[in-house]
Parts: sequence; structure tokens; C-alpha cells
Amino acid sequence: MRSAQSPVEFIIVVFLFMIILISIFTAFLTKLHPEIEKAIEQRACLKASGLATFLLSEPGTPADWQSSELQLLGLTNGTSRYISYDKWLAAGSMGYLNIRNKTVPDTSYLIGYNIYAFNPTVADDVCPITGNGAVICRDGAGSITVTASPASPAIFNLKLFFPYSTATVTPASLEASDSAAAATTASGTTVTARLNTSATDSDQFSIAFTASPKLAFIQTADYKTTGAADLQILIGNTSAVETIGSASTGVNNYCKSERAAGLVGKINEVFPVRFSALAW
Amino acid sequence: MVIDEMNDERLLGQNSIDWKKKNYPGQGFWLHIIKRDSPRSSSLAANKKGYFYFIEIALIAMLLITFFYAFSPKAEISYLSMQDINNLKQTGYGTLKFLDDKNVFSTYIDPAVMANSDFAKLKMYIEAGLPSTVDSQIEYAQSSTVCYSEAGVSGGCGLAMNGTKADVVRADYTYSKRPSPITIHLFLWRTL
Repeated sequence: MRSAQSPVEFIIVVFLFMIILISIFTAFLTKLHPEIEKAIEQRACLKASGLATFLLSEPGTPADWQSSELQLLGLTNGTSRYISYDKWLAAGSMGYLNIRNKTVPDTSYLIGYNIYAFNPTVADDVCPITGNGAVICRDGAGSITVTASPASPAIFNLKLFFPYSTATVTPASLEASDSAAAATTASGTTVTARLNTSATDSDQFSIAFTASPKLAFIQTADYKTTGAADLQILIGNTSAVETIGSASTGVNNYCKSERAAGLVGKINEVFPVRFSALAW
Repeated sequence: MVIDEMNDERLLGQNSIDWKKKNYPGQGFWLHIIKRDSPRSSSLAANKKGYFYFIEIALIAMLLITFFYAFSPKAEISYLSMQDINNLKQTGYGTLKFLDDKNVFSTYIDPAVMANSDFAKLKMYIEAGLPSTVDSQIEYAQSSTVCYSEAGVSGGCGLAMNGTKADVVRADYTYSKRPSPITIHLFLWRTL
């Protein structure tokens, strides 16, 4: 402080200076935080889009990597947007940690698909007898059998829509706690089922329909144990819902990229799927 | 040997006088008074004053920059929102393409007269393939100005939202398996 400067003046100047400093820091910090979040969002979205695009447009290296050594992960059967179910199963059995560093872009991710429709009249359907899951099996002659048999108590919810078709439900082994019913309107039939199952209680019902639609749509399909673990749901011998990736999906700064694609199943049947890639 | 030398700034710019206090060992203190002429003295004062002006201007500039930086209009870009819009578009296109691959369009779109197509079934198949959280509106464009609505009514082209507010995207798919290709405009928006 200069001796010619009054103490009051000095205090005011220091006070003003502190206000300026605080204002500057506050303004920068309040503005900087959202900008940083946007940058993180942008990076995650670019990764998610890049991942979805690459996996759905490339077969991988080598192209038949599921029968040799994987160098670079791709999921198509050689045609863009058509996922090879064999490659999906191979990637799943290798495990996320083993395929993560063979994926571009280099990021943490969770990929998955769910089948949203199927041809209800496939003649040569192959239906495994599952010991822990549900199977939707088609006989090729206007009938579908749904079987749910878990290893532990679980509830199977299923809602199918048959456009411009009349469908009826016939219980095969259902109890009073189970429900399976068909509701027909002018635009088609909706079949809704809720099956309470356990290791000693497998449930089954069949759906018969006239005027075979080109596609039957899956509106709801989930099979969860009482501990909320997901059980497998098969259409023939192709899994209807699958995921591969990091289990740590609790992170906040992820971005999701979605695509509609085709899944080439075990008997070369093409299922329409919604593919998603979460990256962070 | 000079061990202390200073100018008392109290006198600067006030009395046109500078003074120096020097301590010579063994000789005591000597005070040197230097009379300055006015122009030099006022020039020094002006320089000092100019220096403080610069600081003040710098502070004001910093304040202004901070003000404009903090309150300037921001581009409200949400990359998650943009990604969601892109996802909708991809979903719409993929849904239409799969229906074409499954020969749904070739079954229900009349190859010769568009008006004879089964619009109700087309709408049912297209909507059934979309997620339950998505609403849609379909139109079939014969040209840039002539379209059929999802109910099969011929007229102009464009979305009729009837006041519904939503971020709408349009996925286009051209069905070309007829002499006169039809472009399907699928307008999509989230309901949740």
C-alpha cells in the first residue's frame, strides 16, 4: 500500500479485485462443466456410432474368424446389416475381455440385439429342449408351441401379434397361476401369456392361426428369475435376445447407437432385429 | 560505498522535487535534494498515471470478456439428443428395408395403380415393426408434390401433426419393384 493512498481506497480496490476474481472463476467453472460433459457425450456418441457402423458393415478379419483366430471383430455374414448368428455366438463364447482389444474403436462397450418379428410358418424349425429357458417352436403348418422350463423359479412374459390373422391358444400344461389368451380384432390377434415356472413346473401352450401372416411380431418377451436374472428365449434354436460386453453399465456418460438389422439364424432364417451399441 | 539510496515517492509529481538519502560509512548521512523542472516531473507522474490507466483498462477488458463469455448465447447441442434422432432414422430405414426384403411391399403395393394398394396392411406391418415408444406417420410419394397418405388418400405431401409437438425425423425408403418407383416417407417421433 502506498502511503499516499488512503486505507479505505485500498480496501475498496482489494474488495473489487476479489469480486472480479471470484466472478471470473465462477463464470468459467459454471460454463466449463457443461462444456466438458458435452465433449464427453460427443466422444461417447462418436464411439457408439462408429462401433455400430463397423460391426454391422464388416465381417471381421479374417472373414471367417469364428473358425480361426480373430484379429479384428466384425459381425456380418459378408452382407452389410446382416449379423451372422454363428459369429455372435463365437464372440460371446470368447468373452468380452478377449474381444475388446480386437474391436474398433477402442472403447468400453455393451452390444446387444433383440428379435422383434419372425416368420410364423417356418417348416424346418429346429427346437432344442432347453433346461433353462423358453422356446418358441414353429411346426410349419400354422401352429406354434411355446415351452418355458427354468432351472429356478422364473416368470415368462410373452406378447405376440399376428397381423390380419385369427389365432387361438390351447393350453398344454398350464396351472391356475398361469395365463395365456388370444384377443382378436379387425387388424389381427394379440396373444398374451404370463407363465409362473420353476425347476419342477414347466409350462407349455400352443398357438394355432389361420390366414398365415408374413410375420409375427414380438411385442414383449422377457423371462426373469425371482432374482431378476435373464433366462434365454429361443425362436427355434436362435436366441431372441442377446448381449455381449462390459457388465459395468452403471456409468453415466455412455451413448447408445441403434440400428435395425437382420440376424441370420441357425437355419439361415433372417430375423429382423434391433441392434444397439452402448459405448463410453 | 553507498548502502542506501531511495526516492521518496511522496514528493514525486507533487512538489517537483526529488531527494536522495545516502549513507556514506564513517561520514554520516547526506541528503541530496534535486530540483526538477516541471515538464520532467509532470512527465514522470503522467507515466505512472498512464501505467495505472493500463491496469484499469485491462481489468475492465477482463470483466467484459468474462461477461460476454458467461452470458453469450450458447449453442444448445445435446449429442445424446442428436444421437437419438439418428437412431430413429436408422430404425425407420431398417424397418422399411426389412419389410421390402420380406416381400411385404411387393405383396401389398399395387404394381400398376398405387391407389389400389392395401394401405391398411402396409400401415399395420410398418407400425408393428417399430418400437412401442415411437409414433409414426406414413406417406407414399409418387413425385415431389403428389403423395398418398397412410390411409390411401391422394393429395399433397408433408407431415400433418395436428398440433402435436415432437422432434420428428423422416426416414425415406424407395420401393423400386414397380414401373414407377414409390418413395415411402416414414415420419417418426418419440412418445416418451
